Amino acid sequence: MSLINIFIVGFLTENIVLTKFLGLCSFLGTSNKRKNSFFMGTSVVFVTVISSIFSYLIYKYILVPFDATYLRTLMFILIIACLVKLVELFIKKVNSTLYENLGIYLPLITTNCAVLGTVLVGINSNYNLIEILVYSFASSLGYLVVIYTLSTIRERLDNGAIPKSFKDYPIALIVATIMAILFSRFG
Amino acid sequence: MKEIHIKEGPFLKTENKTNNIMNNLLIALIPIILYSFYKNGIVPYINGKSTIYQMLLPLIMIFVSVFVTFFTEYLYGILIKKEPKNIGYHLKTKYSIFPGLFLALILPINTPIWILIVGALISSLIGKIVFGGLGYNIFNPALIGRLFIITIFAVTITNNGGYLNSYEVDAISKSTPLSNYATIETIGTYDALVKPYGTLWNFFFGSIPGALGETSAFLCILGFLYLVYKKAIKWRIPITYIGTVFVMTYIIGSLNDATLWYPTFQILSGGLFFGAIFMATDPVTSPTTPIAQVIYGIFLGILTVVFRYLTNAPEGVLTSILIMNMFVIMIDRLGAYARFGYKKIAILVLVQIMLILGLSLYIAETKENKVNVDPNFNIISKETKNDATTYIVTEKGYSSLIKAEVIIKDSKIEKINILEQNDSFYSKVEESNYVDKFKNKSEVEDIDTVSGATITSTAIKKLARNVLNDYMG
Amino acid sequence: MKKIWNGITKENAIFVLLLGLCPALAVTTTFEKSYVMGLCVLVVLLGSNFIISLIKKIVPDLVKIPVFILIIGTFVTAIEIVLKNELPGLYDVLSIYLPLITVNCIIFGRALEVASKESVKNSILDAIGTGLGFTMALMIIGLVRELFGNNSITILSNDGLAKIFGQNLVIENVLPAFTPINIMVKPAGAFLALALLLAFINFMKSRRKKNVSN
Repeated sequence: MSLINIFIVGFLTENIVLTKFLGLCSFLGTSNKRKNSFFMGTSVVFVTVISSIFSYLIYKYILVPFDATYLRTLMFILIIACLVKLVELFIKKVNSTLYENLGIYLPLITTNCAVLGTVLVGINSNYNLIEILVYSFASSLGYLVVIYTLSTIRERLDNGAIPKSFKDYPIALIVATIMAILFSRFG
Repeated sequence: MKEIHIKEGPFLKTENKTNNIMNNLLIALIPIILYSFYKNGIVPYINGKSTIYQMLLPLIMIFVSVFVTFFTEYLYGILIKKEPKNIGYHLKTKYSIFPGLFLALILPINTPIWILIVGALISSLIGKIVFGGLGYNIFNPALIGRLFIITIFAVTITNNGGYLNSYEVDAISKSTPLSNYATIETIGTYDALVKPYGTLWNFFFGSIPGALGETSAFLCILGFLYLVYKKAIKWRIPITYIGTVFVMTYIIGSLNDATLWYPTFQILSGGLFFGAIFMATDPVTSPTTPIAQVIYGIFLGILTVVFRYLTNAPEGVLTSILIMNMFVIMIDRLGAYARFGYKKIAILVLVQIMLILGLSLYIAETKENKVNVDPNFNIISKETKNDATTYIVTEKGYSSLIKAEVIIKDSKIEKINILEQNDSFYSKVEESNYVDKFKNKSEVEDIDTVSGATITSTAIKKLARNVLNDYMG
Repeated sequence: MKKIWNGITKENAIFVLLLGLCPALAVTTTFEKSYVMGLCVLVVLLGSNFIISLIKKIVPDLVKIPVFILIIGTFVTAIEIVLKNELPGLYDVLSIYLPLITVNCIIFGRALEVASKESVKNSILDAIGTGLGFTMALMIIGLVRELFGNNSITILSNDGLAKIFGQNLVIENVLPAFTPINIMVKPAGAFLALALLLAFINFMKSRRKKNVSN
């Protein structure tokens, strides 16, 4: 599969949020404010791409030769957790205002299904290093775009006018339904 | 301390102006409604192809759809929101006949009435009420209804006759112009794309297969001019939208030796004029600032072209509009801040120009009028005896691999024998002796496909074309 | 007992807390997959809550999170291995969502809020309650989706648990003369099903409130 193909699949047709349902907790939780979702999204992109690369390397050069592929879940999640911790410390040192903005989201990224999910899908698809790079970028970018778009919509929706039972989450899910159908038409 | 009253949206227009827009919109649509009645109702009836019920069907569909959307919002209003019960109030403030009206106009004549009702309900409930009613919806309600109808009921509608009314079914042997286009691998020729339906004037005036109200570009333009005159439409949107599609298809066409007829054909097909003029300009779901409208229109054009050429869906107008509806809020924000920051807008426009050029060139490349490598085609054997060459080939069909024997003599197809296949709809191809159509042909572009077995017959057409390409070298 | 009931109703992971949604929408395309996933989560919850509440006093704050992740991860890996060997059909079908239990917000949330603070007994009760609530929620979503999307109810399938029970149990054509709405078993349908279920629950809640205040 060509690289462009991989990008389009990861970003659009198999969008991590709208088709694979990963990253939903943060999706519904942070998408009520634009700023939050933007920071969450960009942090996810950053962490996903780097941990994909590391996970690939460790999987290929350590786990497979030692026939320890069953350890991959633990391995990947450890990589992600450590990476997040490192990023946290780094940002704290370099730019404390940025740290204050991103503050709470960084630890949340560890448990963000979208990150681990992208890594897993990438490894399962037997991509090589460049392909995993492209795929993880595409996938997390897809996450960012979807979550940011949804937050702009949610900010604009006036909870006062929406029927009571549909406030907050149900309406967000209905928008997600429509987005899911639209994204799938790129197939 | 004075009280602050906050009016309910749309915060853009006062009540009077909403009324103004509604009335003018209705006036602009009347010719289209009448024409849809004429083309889909009266013409088939006069030619003895339908019953009285079918003749009245366009009007019935419009009426049912309008009634359902209006009544749904009416019921919701009086039951849940405790509004006054007089119908006049609802007519004036709700704008609620329009989702129904538009929905009927973008559906094919053969849509079963119950599906229409379901779609109208979805338009009202999911497209509008759940978001908070007039002024709060993000997506165009009629398009939401249409989206769900296609997603859930596409097969049922096709089985019921699809887009062709009973007159067209006999007079025209193909499907809608864009579905027809999708069966052709390359750029296509005037003969293959336009001629089956007449001339480009047919496309302009609207006597081509399509949904109820979207075929006549001419009537849409009339409506557009009227609305511009009455200052009741965001004119920048249709102009940039259609303009972008024209530019892109012009580039695509001219790089493949197609002259002006090609982009003209493209913009006159697929209900582009109707969608651009009436659906994309819906006051609630489209951008408010001028710059935002331009950007919105250009993106709509790009998306539509992408859908038409790069995906399996034959037409992309309605899906593109829904997708851009999602981004309206963001684009509007950019437009509003334009005074303070031209940089973002400039970058965006630059990106758009790059997309337009890049995508057009890319599409032009892949559609070139030359030998295309068909990955689903395989030559198993090729033998030349006397002056005839016999090919045994395989081509991917609908649900199986089709194996065929093709005999070329004097640079023409002498005969095609289907050796093996397991396609579900092959019986139709067999019944119509489809392979006979290929006899003595040196070019297969204008051979029709078999309706009801489009993919299978297209596959046979493809393998014939690929064999000829290989033979010609 | 109250704790268990709480986990099923008032603090239901999916319908109230809206945690752990990823698997909820992804695997609920058939009824069988739904309850199997629910049970896996229940088992992991039990294990992790138990161990974490045992060692909570000896784990320093700084390494709390990584340690919890390791513990949860170990249990998940254990289940992965078991399923891969015993029920490979199911293992394939659940694909990435099994390892993703590791980052399931509900397990992690429970570990942080309950297991690390309360007694062993309470932690186990909480695990049972939350796990049961989660499973039941998944079963409801799965039932709705499969019923409306495929007109069937799969309880034991050839790919899955039929191996253990020796036969498959798939009820087809449950609703007579009903053409399945295919979108329900696709991603969009999952969002829609959840949206409608949540709206329905909100509606019932507000009715109850109205009745109470009357």
